[in-house]
Amino acid sequence: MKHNLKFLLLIAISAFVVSSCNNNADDAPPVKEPGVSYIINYGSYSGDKTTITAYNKETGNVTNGFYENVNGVAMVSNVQHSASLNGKVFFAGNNPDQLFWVDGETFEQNENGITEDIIKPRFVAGQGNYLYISCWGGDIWTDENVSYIAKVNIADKKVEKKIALPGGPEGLAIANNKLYAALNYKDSVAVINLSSEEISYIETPAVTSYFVKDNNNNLYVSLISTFSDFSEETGLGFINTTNDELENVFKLDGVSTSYVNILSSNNDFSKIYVMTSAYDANWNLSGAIATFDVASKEFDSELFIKDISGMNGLSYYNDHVFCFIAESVTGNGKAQTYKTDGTLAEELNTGIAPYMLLTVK
Amino acid sequence: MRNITRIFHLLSKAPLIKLMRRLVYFIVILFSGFGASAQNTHSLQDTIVLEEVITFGNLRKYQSGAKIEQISSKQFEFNQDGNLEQLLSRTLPIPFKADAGGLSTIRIRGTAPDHTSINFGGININSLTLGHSNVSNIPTYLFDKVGVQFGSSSSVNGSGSIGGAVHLGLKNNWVDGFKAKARVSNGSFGEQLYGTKIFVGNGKFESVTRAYYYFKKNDFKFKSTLKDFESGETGFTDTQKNAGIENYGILQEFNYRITENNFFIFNIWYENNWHLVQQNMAVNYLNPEKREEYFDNHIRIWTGYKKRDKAFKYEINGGYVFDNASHNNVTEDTIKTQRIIAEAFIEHDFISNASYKVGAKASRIKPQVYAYSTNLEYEDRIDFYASYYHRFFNRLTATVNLRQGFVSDFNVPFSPSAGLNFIALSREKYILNINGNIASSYRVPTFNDRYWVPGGNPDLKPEKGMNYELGSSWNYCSPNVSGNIKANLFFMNIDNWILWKNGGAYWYAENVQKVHSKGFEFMTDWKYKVMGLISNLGFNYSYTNTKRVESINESPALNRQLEYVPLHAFNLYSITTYKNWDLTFDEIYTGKQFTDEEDKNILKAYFLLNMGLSYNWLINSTNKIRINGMLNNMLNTSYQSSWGYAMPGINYKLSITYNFN
Repeated sequence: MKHNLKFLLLIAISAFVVSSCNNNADDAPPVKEPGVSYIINYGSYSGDKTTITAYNKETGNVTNGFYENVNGVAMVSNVQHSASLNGKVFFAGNNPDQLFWVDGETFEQNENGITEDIIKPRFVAGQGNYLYISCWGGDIWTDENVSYIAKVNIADKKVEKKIALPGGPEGLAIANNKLYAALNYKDSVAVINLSSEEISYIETPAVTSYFVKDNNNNLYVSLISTFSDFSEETGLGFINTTNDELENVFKLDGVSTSYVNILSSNNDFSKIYVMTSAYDANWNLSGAIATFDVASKEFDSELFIKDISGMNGLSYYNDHVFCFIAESVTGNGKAQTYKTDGTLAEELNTGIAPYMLLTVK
Repeated sequence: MRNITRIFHLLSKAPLIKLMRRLVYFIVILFSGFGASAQNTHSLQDTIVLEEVITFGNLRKYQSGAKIEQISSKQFEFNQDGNLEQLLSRTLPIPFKADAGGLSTIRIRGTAPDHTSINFGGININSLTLGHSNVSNIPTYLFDKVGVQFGSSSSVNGSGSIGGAVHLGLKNNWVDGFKAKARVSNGSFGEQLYGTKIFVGNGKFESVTRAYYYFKKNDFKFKSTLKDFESGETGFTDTQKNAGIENYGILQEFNYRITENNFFIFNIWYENNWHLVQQNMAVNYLNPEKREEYFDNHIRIWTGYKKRDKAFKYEINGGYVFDNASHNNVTEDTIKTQRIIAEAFIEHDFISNASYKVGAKASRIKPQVYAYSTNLEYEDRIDFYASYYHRFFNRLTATVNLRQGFVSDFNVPFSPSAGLNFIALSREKYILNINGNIASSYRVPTFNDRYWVPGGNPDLKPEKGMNYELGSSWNYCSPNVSGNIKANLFFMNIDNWILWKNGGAYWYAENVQKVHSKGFEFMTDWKYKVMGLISNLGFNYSYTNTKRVESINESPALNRQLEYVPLHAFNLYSITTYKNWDLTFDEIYTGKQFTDEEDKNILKAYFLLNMGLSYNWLINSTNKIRINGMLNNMLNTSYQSSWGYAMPGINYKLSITYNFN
């Protein structure tokens, strides 16, 4: 009997170990999403500042002006990017430039933000007690050497170090204890070893903007053509983070150059949604979403959605693709949610210029 | 001949048939008027012109029923240290969106800054790239007169005069000898102005030099709207940083007259403007080191020969404009435009009560902007215009204006206007006029709108407007009291209003919305003498109901009051003169204003009270000194004219002007 018990225990342990090592996404546990997420509305750089729209996926309710409702005052910055870490939500804001944060549960802001050494922040990525913020550092379009990564000690609430990184770092991702920075003014991705802070580069056929990370910690990076750095090699690049090589380029015309969320994957990482733009039948420029099939490594021949006037970003949440729409920066925007078959599910009213959706971890 | 060549050059670039049809219609209209009028060559003895607003042309004569106002010389004198925004906001019912001195834009009758032309001679000084002027950078010191036309006047002033037109005027003095003025002014927040005007002439030839230097540190205190999250404090006092201004300019005139109405003019105006872009209250507090420089300089030359001494009059004018701007000293990102302009017209008073004017204005524009397509070398524009004036029975005057413009690769709409002025009552002491005007208008999109890469849209349609005006004025004059009461109703329809739209990858220019603006303006101005006091009291009120009635954007603010247009605004002023003393008060009320299409961030209504006191010291017949003190925002009102930007509280200005005759 004792022998049998030991044998059963061995089988059980073996089964657990085997299942833990299985990388098959189909067998992965379902992603646990919070019931409430937050749509970030950028506002207008020279006018209205960022507002937050809370969205409850269970009830479908949206609450605009959520930050102001909680804190009694409006935000004073235009939030460029936001991320949650260690129970807090961090906002990288422009005009004024600052990093500020709220409690992840209550959304209350009880401390003043950090402004020192935060100049034109672009993107936030966190690990442990550190936040890494890509900063342009000044007029990057005139001097590509002014940009840097601000390493912020969350406990001390200050920028512990500025890691010089020329080339206009934009989107960030952390994988295998390395920080990957998409460079917006250089045909490369920068790789910073987070232990040694040594920097190496992965050459790319175009400038880069944002990442999505797959279940194996590898990265897909958007390749874009900009006014200052034209390229016909736009699309997605695949970076193997083990050897830091660009292993594949999947071409796609018209990848959006917007400084917003232009990439998002679904929960099991079988699809990557990419924001693009194209002229419609009347030669008006409009937004679209292309779908990249991870298994076949091809873009779907049909666009997921198209002819979206004023498309301003996308996200994946609640098994729906969220398409953010802002035709102007003076009027309210909206979020249209689409089922995975491309049919419109819901339309949500937001604040001015919605562009990303934040889930608090 | 050169103009004809130009027309054919334009025709070769534009859709030929459409242009040909328009041109033929226009020539037929012009020459039918010319043929009819050529039958009578009697001179025009009388017109309704009360006073020539500016030296550059008679605005009122051919625009019966149009509302044209001129700033009085006293008001002009009190505002010599300031800029155009300060002058107009205190004297006329015109709102501005402004910060504390660096940037200000005009909004006549609910229209955009691009919809008001600002004219120096035959030059519309609005930026060809942005479409409008920063009126904070237009110093009143350099000019003698300012006239404002309310409502559309594209048929007279060309592209851009949808909401109104401002005319910066110079007077020909025909100085015989030498006279000079010097002015020193000092005020709060490091404000300084040094100016001089030098007149030299022999009665036939004159040289007039006007120059100024203006500086302001602009470090005023204000009540911040921010919250300190650690102390919980709100409404603390902050000091504006990095908002300094340094401008200087010189305007040189050379004029030569053969006879009183037969003369040459030559004006060159160099303007150099630098300012630190004022940051909003949040940036000022949280990023106090942030400095953003904006620099622009301009050369504007306007010259002409004017022969007005016979019934058959004509003018030949020419101009050159160089505009240059840079942000944060980045000179590689060139933003320059150059224009050469030629204009000629004839005016014929063919019978005693009628006259006509026909002319053409051509310009070649060479933009050098870093973000434009390299294919764009230059753009040619030519406008043909005709005006007709007729007076019936000494009571009714009627005017008609026609204008057709041609622009390389762009279709410009035909722009007519017509007006009537009827003297309903005429007595010894008073006169009552009723007038009306209908005017179409247009704006050729800016170079940025059409050629900026990415997002410029060469296929844009011109913005088009229709303005309907009905007004009355009652003028009273007795030995001790004179004054007027004016009331105007207007309706304006502006279509194809251009905005930049989010295209996903980048923003692009598009004809987005239609706007209706209707309203009522009431103006009254009285002068009276009582016990040695000479008083001037005025009141201006405007009700401006401006709504976005159609938009291709999904706007939540359709049929709501447009942003930065106060529904109610008024100003009240008084100038009292006793012996050598002048005392002035002015009060400005600006109603609440929406700042976006949401119903939040609404600017509160505000009321500003200003006063001035001056003393004229006549040293002798040739030397005079004027000492002038101004106290602005006496109630220390905390207000915003542009959302999030601080404005100064109570402040003073003291100036001394020396006049040598």
